[in-house]
Amino acid sequence: MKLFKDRNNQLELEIELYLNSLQKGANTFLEGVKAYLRNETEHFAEHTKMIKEQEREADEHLVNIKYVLFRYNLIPDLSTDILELMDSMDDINDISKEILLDLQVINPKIDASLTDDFGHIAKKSKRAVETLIKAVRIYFTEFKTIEDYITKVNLFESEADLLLHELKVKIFDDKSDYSLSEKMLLSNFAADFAKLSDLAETIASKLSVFRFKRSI
Amino acid sequence: MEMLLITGLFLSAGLFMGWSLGANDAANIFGTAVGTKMIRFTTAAIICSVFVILGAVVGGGGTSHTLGELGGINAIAGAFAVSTSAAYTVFFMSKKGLPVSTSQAIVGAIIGWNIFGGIQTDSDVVVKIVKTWIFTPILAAIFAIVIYFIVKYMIEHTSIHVVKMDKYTRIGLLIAGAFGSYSLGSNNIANVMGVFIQVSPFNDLMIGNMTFTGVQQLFLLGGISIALGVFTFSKKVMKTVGNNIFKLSPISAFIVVLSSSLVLFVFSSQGLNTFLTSINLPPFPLVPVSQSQAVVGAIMGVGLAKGGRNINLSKIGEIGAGWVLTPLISFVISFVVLNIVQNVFLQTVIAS
Repeated sequence: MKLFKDRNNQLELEIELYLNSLQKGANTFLEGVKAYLRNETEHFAEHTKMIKEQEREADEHLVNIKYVLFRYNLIPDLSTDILELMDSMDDINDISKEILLDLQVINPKIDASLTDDFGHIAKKSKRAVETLIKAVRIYFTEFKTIEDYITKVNLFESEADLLLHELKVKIFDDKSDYSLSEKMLLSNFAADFAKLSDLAETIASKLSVFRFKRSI
Repeated sequence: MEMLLITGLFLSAGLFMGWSLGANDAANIFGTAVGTKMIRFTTAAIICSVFVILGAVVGGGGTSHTLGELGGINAIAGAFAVSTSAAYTVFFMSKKGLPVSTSQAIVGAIIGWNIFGGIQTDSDVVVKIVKTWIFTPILAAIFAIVIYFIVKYMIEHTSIHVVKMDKYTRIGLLIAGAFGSYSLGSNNIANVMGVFIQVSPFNDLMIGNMTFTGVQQLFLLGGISIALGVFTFSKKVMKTVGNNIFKLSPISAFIVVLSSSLVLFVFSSQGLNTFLTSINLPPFPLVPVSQSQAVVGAIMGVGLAKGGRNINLSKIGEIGAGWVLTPLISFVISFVVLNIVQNVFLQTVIAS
């Protein structure tokens, strides 16, 4: 009966902590981008530091989840799905960190006329991730209502895509003062900001398949 | 000493039946749980063995009584011949890949003994037994459908975390497995030791204020042989059942085990029989039934509850063929073996 003592609770707790880390990472991403766009250098540096810490923390929880899941043979029928889900979600903090570090290193010059557009894309991406995390929590408990959340994730991704397109049009406008290389760089950053929403959509699609296995 | 050896030799046919029952039927109870690694084999084997023995000793009387009504085998060599014939039928049909049930094999063999001895077979008892066989998969399917909807409702209307659900499912599989083992012991011990009751070599024992009857000692021996089958040979079968034949989710496996066990229980519980009679309801007949067929019925029930429209007609056909073919083959073999034991080995197979 050793199996039933606390391994299940430990796994449940690790999953909860992992999702919390990802949620914090998404928040830090948005706050970091906002700080960068407002030229709040100190604040931005703080968030860059925070995201590194949150990424490390999430990685630790992911390792613990894998260990408990396989060492104690928990949820054998769903363990592969759960692991795939958790593994792909790890990219949320990885991408967030990568974007903030790139901003720190490359320090692209973003004109005031474009900051709102960049901010909006980052906000939509963060909302897509946030909704995905809610969907994942629902997957573990009341999986029947999961489709509502998946629809929302898709909606945020579409909105982010639309904003990305509009921003690209603005960046490559003939009247713009940017050189082609600067335009390319900004366009890449804009695409990176939207990348999180794409990731959220990909994971949401997986989730909508995984939920079928949860029904008896 | 010589007498003990001869008795042991005669009982060995029943013990072999017990061993093969343990090796095969335990897989129906714990197969998915072990195959999907929800429960370790050792845990499953221990629980199965303990509860099979308990079921055999405590609740094995009812179904054995029905077999006794069918044919009161009164010579140990006759019981040996009948048991050997049933065991060989199971072996032969399994080898040919035909669906087989120990319950149906023993009934055919007993009828063979009746006819060999010129004893009238009670047709009412035969009808009662055959009706029960037909009703077994149907009842298992009904139980499975009802339990499926209860479990589904509980899962969908409670916010139990997947991880907690895993824990509850494991506990559920253990409890259903223990219940299934108890039911298997109480229902199927008649197939293993039922024919030896009238020729039991054991005398009643007094343990304190309790009497440990000769029949119970016989059933204990049969239960131990089933447990031996579980420990020595069921692991492979369990893994095959868990991974290849019935691809069930652990929760579906719980439903299947519980519903098939309930069927075996209602057809072997003397307590339930008495209770239903006391409230003027028709009791379930106490008849040894096929656990495998109950399992197939329960799996079909789960499939129907899930909205499946494609009933596997070949499986139903196989079950139907088993009802006819198994007793028939067993009857023929029994007739031949009784002849050999009586005329070649010069043993008394029917006491005058």
